Amino acid sequence: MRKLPVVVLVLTLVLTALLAGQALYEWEWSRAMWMTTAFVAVEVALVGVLVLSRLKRLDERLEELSRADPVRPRLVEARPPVRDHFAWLREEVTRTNVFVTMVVGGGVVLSGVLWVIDQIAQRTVTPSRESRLARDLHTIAPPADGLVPPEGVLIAEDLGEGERDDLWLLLTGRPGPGSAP
Amino acid sequence: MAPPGAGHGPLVSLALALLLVGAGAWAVHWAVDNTLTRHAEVEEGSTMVVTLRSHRQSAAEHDEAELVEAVVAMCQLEVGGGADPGSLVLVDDDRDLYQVVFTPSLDTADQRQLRGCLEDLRIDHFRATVESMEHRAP
Repeated sequence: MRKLPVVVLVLTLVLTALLAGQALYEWEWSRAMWMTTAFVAVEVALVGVLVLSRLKRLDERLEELSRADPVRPRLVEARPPVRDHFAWLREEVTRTNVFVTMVVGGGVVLSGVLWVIDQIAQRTVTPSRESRLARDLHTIAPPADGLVPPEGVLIAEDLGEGERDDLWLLLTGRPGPGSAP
Repeated sequence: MAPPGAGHGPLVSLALALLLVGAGAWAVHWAVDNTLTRHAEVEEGSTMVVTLRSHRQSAAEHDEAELVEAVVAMCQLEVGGGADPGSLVLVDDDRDLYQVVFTPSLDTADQRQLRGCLEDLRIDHFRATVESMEHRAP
């Protein structure tokens, strides 16, 4: 750790603290704020210098440890060669490149799978949707005996009040609802 | 065999602790004495004449008298005192000395606050220093 910067920073810190205190004591708010700002800045700088020097020392110590240990270099030397998993993608003159073949073959297989899925869908989804539509259409179908009322009803509609009572008496054997008791 | 002076450990620690507590108490008492604002009654009709020296840099755009008036106006609001209207006068043109009268006078705490405010304030490259604060009884 370089001592001179730290000593300078500490002295500046003390000085700014004293000046800030003096300014506060003398009711000089602007000066007090400036001195406090300087105090915080110097404090941050001092902490930064101390932390960085500490990190540097740790780094140096780690380097020393790794240098002193004879086992680790041996382990590094004995590492297995790194496997190249995508060597088959590399263009080479001496061997056949299989990349295009694999792409075409994969496309054929994928097309076959999609064709099978399409056939299954045609044979299952369409009939079930037709059945469901037929069930839904039943709710809006016309009545089974047609929309024209029976003949008797039509005749009754054309009769007057007295004739309707007579018809009622003829059909039921009882006086109609509109006839006098 | 115990090392020499080993038996005095707790006593020395206790004495040091007592010393530190005493020093701390004295420091707090001193700080309170010197920083706590204590206002006192001011005699009715008393006045205080404040003499200011102005320091105006060439970059200042406003007139010097205006700047002194502005500084006094702001600081009288800060201390809650009252400068007599029209009492601000130039007393020495060569030394840039101005005088202003406060009625009633200010107590010690307000005088300190007024001095701090007058010397701390900067307006348009202008600052003032307090030459004297003279209390006059009624």
